[in-house]
Amino acid sequence: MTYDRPEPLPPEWLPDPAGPAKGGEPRVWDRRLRELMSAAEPRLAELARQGGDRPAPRVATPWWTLLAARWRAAVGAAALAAAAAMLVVQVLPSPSSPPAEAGTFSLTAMAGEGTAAAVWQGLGSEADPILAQIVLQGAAR
Amino acid sequence: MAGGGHGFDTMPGGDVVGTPDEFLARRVQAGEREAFAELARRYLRPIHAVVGSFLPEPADVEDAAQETFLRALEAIEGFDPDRSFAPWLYQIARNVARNRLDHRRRWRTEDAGDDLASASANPGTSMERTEIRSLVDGVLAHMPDKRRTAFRLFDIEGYTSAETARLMGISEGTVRSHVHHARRKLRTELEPLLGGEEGR
Repeated sequence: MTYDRPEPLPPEWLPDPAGPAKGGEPRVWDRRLRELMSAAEPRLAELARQGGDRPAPRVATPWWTLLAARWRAAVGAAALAAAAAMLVVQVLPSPSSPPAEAGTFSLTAMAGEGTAAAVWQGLGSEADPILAQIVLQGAAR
Repeated sequence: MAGGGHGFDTMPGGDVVGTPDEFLARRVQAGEREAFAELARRYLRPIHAVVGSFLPEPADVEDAAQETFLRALEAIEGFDPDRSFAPWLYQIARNVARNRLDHRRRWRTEDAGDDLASASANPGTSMERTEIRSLVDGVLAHMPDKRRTAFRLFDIEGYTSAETARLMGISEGTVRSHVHHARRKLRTELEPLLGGEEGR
């Protein structure tokens, strides 16, 4: 059985509405609202007084509710953390890679420390910069 | 209704417009007047409709609607803002209306005296319509509460099934089911009595 389109009843059968659902008769509703607010005033004042005496009402929200409410942020943070972890793993030298042999120079180290001639000079020999570069590149290979 | 834009608003309410009901309720717990006024703006009409589905007399409906909000305000400290505000208010309205109904013991649908006294140039038509509506009221009075309220909100007051569902705390499918059964019941009961009056 489907309830999508139940056939409406003839309008003349229907009782009068308590008030139009949308628009119309705003004065009536304004009056009702004013009367209600007037009647509610003492209780609102009492609540306000109590509110001043005590800390603001705290809503005990379970952590998983908060997590669920902010799931997009949580998923984003998790993805960011995973990406950062992968980046670190790729950049850092793997512990399984063999240590550099003594007496060899890597071009990376050379670039970090200075010119090829300066490195060569650090070993105690004067050198032409271009020749030193060629020698060091040959050693690195 | 889950926030501001649910179609129940009757006038703007400053910085509270668009604020979810539950946030407003939390502010009412701290005694904030404007938050309560905004909730009243949003729900005064639907609550009128809810209590109107129980109580036949307009004066009774008006009193019951106001009593609903005042009771809600009395109980607001016990309201859990993690839950939906509208069904909570709806339950209060229902209880208020039922209490009043129990007090009166029975429906009083024959309140048309004043209307008849001021009837227009065609009193026959007015009488006929009044009688039809009395019959409808009689059938509605014997329906389950939720069915009657859903029918009232949807078919008489013109709220959408989504608005009705949200207020009553039920699904839209259930609202449509209630409306469907209410219409069918009214047709079954009234068509033999009204004959050609069905109108369509």
